[in-house]
Amino acid sequence: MFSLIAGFIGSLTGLGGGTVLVPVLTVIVGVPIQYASGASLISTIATSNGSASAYLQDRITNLKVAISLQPFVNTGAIVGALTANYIYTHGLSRVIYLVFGSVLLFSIYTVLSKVNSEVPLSTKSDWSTRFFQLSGEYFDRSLGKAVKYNGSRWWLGVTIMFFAGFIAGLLGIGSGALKVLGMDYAMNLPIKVTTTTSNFMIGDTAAVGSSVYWFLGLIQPFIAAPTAIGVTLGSVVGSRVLPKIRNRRVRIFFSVIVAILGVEMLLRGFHSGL
Amino acid sequence: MEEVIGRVMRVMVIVSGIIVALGVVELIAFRGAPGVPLREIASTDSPLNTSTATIGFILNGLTKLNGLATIYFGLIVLVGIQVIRMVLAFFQFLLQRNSLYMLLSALVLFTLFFAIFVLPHLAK
Repeated sequence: MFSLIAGFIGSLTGLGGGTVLVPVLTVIVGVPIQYASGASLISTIATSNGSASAYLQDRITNLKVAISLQPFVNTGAIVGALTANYIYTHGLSRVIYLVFGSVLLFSIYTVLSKVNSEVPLSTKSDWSTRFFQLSGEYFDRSLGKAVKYNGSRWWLGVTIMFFAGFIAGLLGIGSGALKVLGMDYAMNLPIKVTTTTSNFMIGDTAAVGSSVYWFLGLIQPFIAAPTAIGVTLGSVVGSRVLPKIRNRRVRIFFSVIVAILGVEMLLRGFHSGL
Repeated sequence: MEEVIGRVMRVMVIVSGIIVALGVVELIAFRGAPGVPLREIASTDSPLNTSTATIGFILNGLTKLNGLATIYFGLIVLVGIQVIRMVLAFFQFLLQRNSLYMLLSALVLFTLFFAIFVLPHLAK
């Protein structure tokens, strides 16, 4: 029941489902962290594919950016998931709590500092722009004009993305915040392209992570089931509710919640070896 | 075309959600699955997990209204959606005759298949 609500709220907040889902399941519901991560990974696929808003913006999504990075993100996810298993089987769960707490606190930074201008100032291209055909164009409704952009520094993006995949597999989250960092800051893509493309990629990373979690036995059906249902409901309803609740005040309110959860996770990491 | 794909994906996510929900209903209605009482399944630190969920168990359980098998099946559908999405991306690049991206999307598919089919065998 709690997992259902957690899943629903998790997908509504838009803070990247799992990032909120895992701490809520562990701290409030009392689910062991490996099962919480497993449930979250599975649900992330639903978030990525189910949200109607994602498809309305499909023309903004840059498939080439996604696919040129995805093999490396997925490899990162496999390594991350296997690392997670090593950690769990060696009783080192506190490491997970510590990393998770840090990621939560870091994600607040990225949520609050979305002041980075809508459109990147520089559109300089380099060899990777040409080789990977990373130039694109989309129509920005709020600006009322077409925005042209050149993705660059692919090698830097891919390095950050491998790490993002690793974190996703390790913690069972989509790690959208890190993906946005990799594409927005490193590859100089407009924020709208970054968020929609990241949403597309998250599902695939989660599918890879879930498969590894599956045979390692980190997915508990009775926890994963209600969470997945909640997230599916949330992502279907979310597209209608989200535009209304996504203003600055709400963003700060959620940041406070995430901060509390982040500190709680860090404390658990410091205090117990559970 | 892409809008059609998007819509189909969304519907499939909802379908997988319904299958999973059906599984939960079965578990509650039959007070658990054969050999596993509901109390044991519902406990948060239950030792029961996907490591015992093999293809055989799922296919066998589906017809017998085994709630666990139904839930697992719904979750597999969810992962399957993602695989289909990548296969479609591959064909999109095939139509554009973009060999670099055909190779890259094939690589993505390889990581998926590696995680789903190869790794479990390596681990055993």
